[in-house]
Amino acid sequence: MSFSGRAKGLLRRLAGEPTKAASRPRKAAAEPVAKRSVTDEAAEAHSLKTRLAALVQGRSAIAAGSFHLVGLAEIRERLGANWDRVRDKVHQETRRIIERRIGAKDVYFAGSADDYVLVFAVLGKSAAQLVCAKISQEVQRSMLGDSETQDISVRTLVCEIDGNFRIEKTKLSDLVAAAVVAAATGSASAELVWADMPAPPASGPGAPALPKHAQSGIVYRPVWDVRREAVSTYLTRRGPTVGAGPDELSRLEHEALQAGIEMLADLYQNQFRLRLSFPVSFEAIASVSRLRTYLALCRTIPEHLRKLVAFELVNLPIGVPNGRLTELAVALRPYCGLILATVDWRHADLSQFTKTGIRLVNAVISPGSNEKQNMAEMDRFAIAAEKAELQSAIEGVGTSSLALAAKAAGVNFISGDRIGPCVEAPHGMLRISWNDVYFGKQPAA
Amino acid sequence: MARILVIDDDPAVRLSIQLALEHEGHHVACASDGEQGLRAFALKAPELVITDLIMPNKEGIEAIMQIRAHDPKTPILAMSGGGRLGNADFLKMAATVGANATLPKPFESEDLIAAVRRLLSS
Repeated sequence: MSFSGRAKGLLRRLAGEPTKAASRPRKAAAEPVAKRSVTDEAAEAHSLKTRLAALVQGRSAIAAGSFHLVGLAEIRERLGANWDRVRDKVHQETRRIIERRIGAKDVYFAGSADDYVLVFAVLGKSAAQLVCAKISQEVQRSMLGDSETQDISVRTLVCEIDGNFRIEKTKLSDLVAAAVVAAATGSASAELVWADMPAPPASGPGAPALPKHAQSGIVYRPVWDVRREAVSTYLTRRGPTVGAGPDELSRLEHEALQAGIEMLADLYQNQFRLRLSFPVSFEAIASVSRLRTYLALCRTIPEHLRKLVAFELVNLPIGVPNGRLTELAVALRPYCGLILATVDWRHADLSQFTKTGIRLVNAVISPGSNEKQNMAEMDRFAIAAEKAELQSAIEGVGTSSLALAAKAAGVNFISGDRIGPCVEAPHGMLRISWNDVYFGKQPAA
Repeated sequence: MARILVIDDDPAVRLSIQLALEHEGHHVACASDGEQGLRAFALKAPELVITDLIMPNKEGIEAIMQIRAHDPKTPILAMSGGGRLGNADFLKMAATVGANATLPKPFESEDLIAAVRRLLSS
């Protein structure tokens, strides 16, 4: 097992032991471990368990819920004979996604052959599990092109009262259900859910019981237009979709579009003007039949409302060709005033969006991630967008530092708790000056 | 000679300001963001604070507001490059919330020294 000094440093800090240096790099470098036999893997798993037990022994208050395992076993199984050929790439992609998802003070390292151990310094157990679930989903989507993650579980190291520990396995469906309840009841992990994950089934068999007002699971995030100094757009958001496959995503997105258009029509009739953006997952319109179904629904949008509708392409696979994006944009264009794409700001090649019909790119800041790094990324993102002749938007601006940095970077649209929380019903356009944004005057919730 | 606290997330800027001020005989303490700056302010009781505005972990305007909430007297010099879009808004805001003087980045060390002298003599 590779276990770098950096990871040990953080673990010492977690355990309250002195560290050698005041500041140190945030993550452990994790190299893929060479292929092992089944016996080796079993021995290694045992060794990992022993090692982790030693690390957390007697420190349950600090470490409980902090240690999680992200495994690649499911992907390995689905890739079958191709696994050996793509193994390094899968590991590389997994490390990239882990690094993007974990926070400044979190670390990770290679566990057994195809496992990564993630150590969360700040997040609670359920929020950390959601991050791990999201990582698993993204790895799967990136490597296999789908997000059929119902077989995936998150494994958490749980310390027991007697000092022993066990590895607790939680199914994604259970995590999703818990997250929906958390989001609906406004508990601590809800922020993570809303800010970062587009949404789970809010109804149907197995769905958790929710308070009545939150049963639809749909909320709207206000977006501040920096140049016009106004909140004129709302992004449709739901709870997490970590367990949802393409059919379920389609169903949810159809439901969101229908509900949103009804609301937009009401607001329009009452002289309120705003733009409402609807997420469209790539996997939910990737097949011709699903795209046709979605477009059939789009045709029901009244003509006079179409300029107020925006479609937000989400879950775009890395490197989706410019031609494919153009096809999708051309198909959606007659039914909206704007098409945007939510992208991973650290890795997206924004030139792929140029001249596709997509006019704006949105990047989401992960809650708890390194603020200094985010500020630098924000600068790069805004410049890259400008070069690609796109407007830029940043979602997840929760602090005044990020708001200041976003404005200074020349970002065109900002959303996040600094602008206003998600609301159950959007308002009409609202003038809000920079000073109002900075000093915390938010659109009424 | 005065005790001066310099808050800036750019180590090169911090160092160059520190050298310029030490050359003038001042004692300089440094912090790399607003949060550290507030801690250093409480510990070092500086006679002057020089702070950048766009910083992680509590930016300069918020830091100025928090200093002013407890200490209306210690002079504060706010400086900013304002990112790609100029700095007028941010420096004006800093002045509104309690900075005694502002200095747009980039600046010459003579401008900094002159501003520091003005603030310390007043």
